[in-house]
Order: sequence, then C-alpha cells, then structure tokens
Amino acid sequence: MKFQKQHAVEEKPNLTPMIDIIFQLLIFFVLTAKFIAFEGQLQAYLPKDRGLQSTTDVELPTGITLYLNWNDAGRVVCQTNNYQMEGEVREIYMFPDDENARQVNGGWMTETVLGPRRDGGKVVYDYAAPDFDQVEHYLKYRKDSYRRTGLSSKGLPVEVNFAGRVPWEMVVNIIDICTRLGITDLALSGDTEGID
Amino acid sequence: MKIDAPESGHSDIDMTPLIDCVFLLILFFLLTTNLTIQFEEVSLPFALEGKEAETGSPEVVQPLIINVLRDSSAPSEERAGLIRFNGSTVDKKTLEQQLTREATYDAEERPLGRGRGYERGPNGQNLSKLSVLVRSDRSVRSEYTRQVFEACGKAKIYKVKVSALEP
Repeated sequence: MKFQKQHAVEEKPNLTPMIDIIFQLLIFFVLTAKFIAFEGQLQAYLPKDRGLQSTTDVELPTGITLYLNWNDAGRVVCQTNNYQMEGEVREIYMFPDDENARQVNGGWMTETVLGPRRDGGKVVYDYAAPDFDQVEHYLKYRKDSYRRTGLSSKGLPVEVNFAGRVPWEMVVNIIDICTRLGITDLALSGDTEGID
Repeated sequence: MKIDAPESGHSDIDMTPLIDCVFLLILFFLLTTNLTIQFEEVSLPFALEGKEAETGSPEVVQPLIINVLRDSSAPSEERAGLIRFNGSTVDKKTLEQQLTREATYDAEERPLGRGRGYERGPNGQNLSKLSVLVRSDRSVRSEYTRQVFEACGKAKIYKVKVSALEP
C-alpha cells in the first residue's frame, strides 16, 4: 500500500475563539469582583467562666451594668444602676438623649456619637439614641476611680445588658467605647424588661 | 521617492505574551472572588477602635465568619435579621450544631481533625481555640446577634470578634 507523504506544513491553531472566550471571562470577573472596604474587628470575647447562665447572681457591687432598652416611641434608652459620678450617687440613672442629634428626613442624625470623628463622617439613625459621649465620660470616670481602689487586676467589670429589639449598632458603640477606654472585663448579657 | 508596497500576506502578531497576561488576570480574579464569597454585603456598624484583621502566617486558622443580614422580606420596622453561615441561612439550633462540629474538628487529633486540641478554661472545662467573626448589620435587632453569641458559647467558642467600619 502506498501512503501519501505527510506534508511538513506547520499547523497554526486558530486562537481567535479562545481569546474571545478569555476576554469574556476576564470582563466577567472584573465586573463582578467586589472590593472589600476596610473592616475593623472589635474583640468581644465571651466570658470563659460564666457560660450562658445569667450573670445577675454574680454580685459585682463595684461593676457597672448598662441597660440598653428599646422604647416603643422609637428611641433607645441607656440606663445604669449604682450610678456614682463626682459625688452624685443614684440608684438608677438614665443617660440623656443626644442633644446634638437632629431629625432630618425621618431619621436622626448625630455628629457626636462615637466621640471625635476622624473625617467628619456622620451617622444617621432612624431613632433617637442616648448620648454616647456621656456614657464614655461616665465609664472613664468609674474606671479611673476603680483603679484607685485596686480591687481587681482585671479592671472595672462592665456588663451590657441589651434588649432584643435594640439595634445592634448601639451595642457596638458601647463595645467601641470600652475598647477605647481599655476596659477588658466586658460581658454582654440578655433580655430584660428594663429596670424602672 | 519610492514607497515600499505593503506586504500582501498579513503579518503575524505574537499572541503569547498577551494570552499569558490575560490568564494571569483571570487567575487573580478567580482567586480573589472566591475569597470574597464569605464576605456577603452587610451594612456594618461604625466604630473607631477596630483593629485590622491579623493576616498572620498560613498556619493561623482563619476565623469562622457568621453574617447577620437584614431580612429585606420582613417589614422594615421589624428590623428582622437572617443568620448566614457557610453560604446558607441557619437558625440558632443549626448554627450551634455546625459550630460544635467545627470546634470538634479543630480540636480532634489528625487525621480526623486539625489536631489543635482545647484550651483549659478557668473551671477546667475545654474551650475551643477557634475564633468567630460576627459581621452583623448595624440596624438589625441585636437579639439575632445575641443568638450567634449564644450558639458560640454553647459550642465552647469564646473568641468572638465583631466587625465594624471606620466612620
């Protein structure tokens, strides 16, 4: 049998369809890629020793409990018991609402929540919120006076008791304040009906 | 002046470097988009004191990411939330089971698990070395986030971090 001699022609694959597909893929990924904004992380370690039981049976007379409640008028209320500030002692104290908050377009805009702002950003809530500057001021005062008593090496124990309907950002504001003040003994706890 | 007549055969452009570059770009986007799948879009709360995530060495086990999204199908005044873990919506019970499984896997000896063991708690109990990153919507009811915390507590994971944006 006689075979035809194979031609020594260099065969070039046609690259055009492949390049087409690759460009399509490229455009798809370029368009769908989402760039992650800078995200900070706050430590909110759960207490190792207390587990899930209510912490109210552990009496911490020198500690602070902050109660965050949602009032049906669309307002977040922050209260504390055992209030001591510059000689003033009260059993129950309610932090005032943020005076600098203004109602705009059905939402509350405040320029002072979260303390000094780095870039003049504003936070808008759609409810009235307590004045977190005052909360920070109070926690700082209590922390300093606690350190003078030297009761514990862990520092002032702070418990944040938040009602389920309170928006999460309110709790984060308090965690943020505690991180800023160096309060490490922070516990988050469950629902209550308020303390009034 | 005499102008050279253009060559009749079309000149071949060398496609190889172009294709190399494009493949590299594709690989890059493929890999980065895989990483962002866990980062569902959440309107995070604002905080000034957040620390940048530790990137660390490859041995560092990445935190488990739990997202709490605002449930857009519920009425807006409800501020209802959806707990999302590993790409699906979970309730507290399921989350607890899944976290317990993760914690067991993390502690279990190789080859059944990662072999990192437990940490001793102050009362002698076993605590997981895993950490959890909670990315919760800022306006959602905090009870959803608390359910996540409770599930973590039940799974013996105490290293919980919450995400926030710089205002």
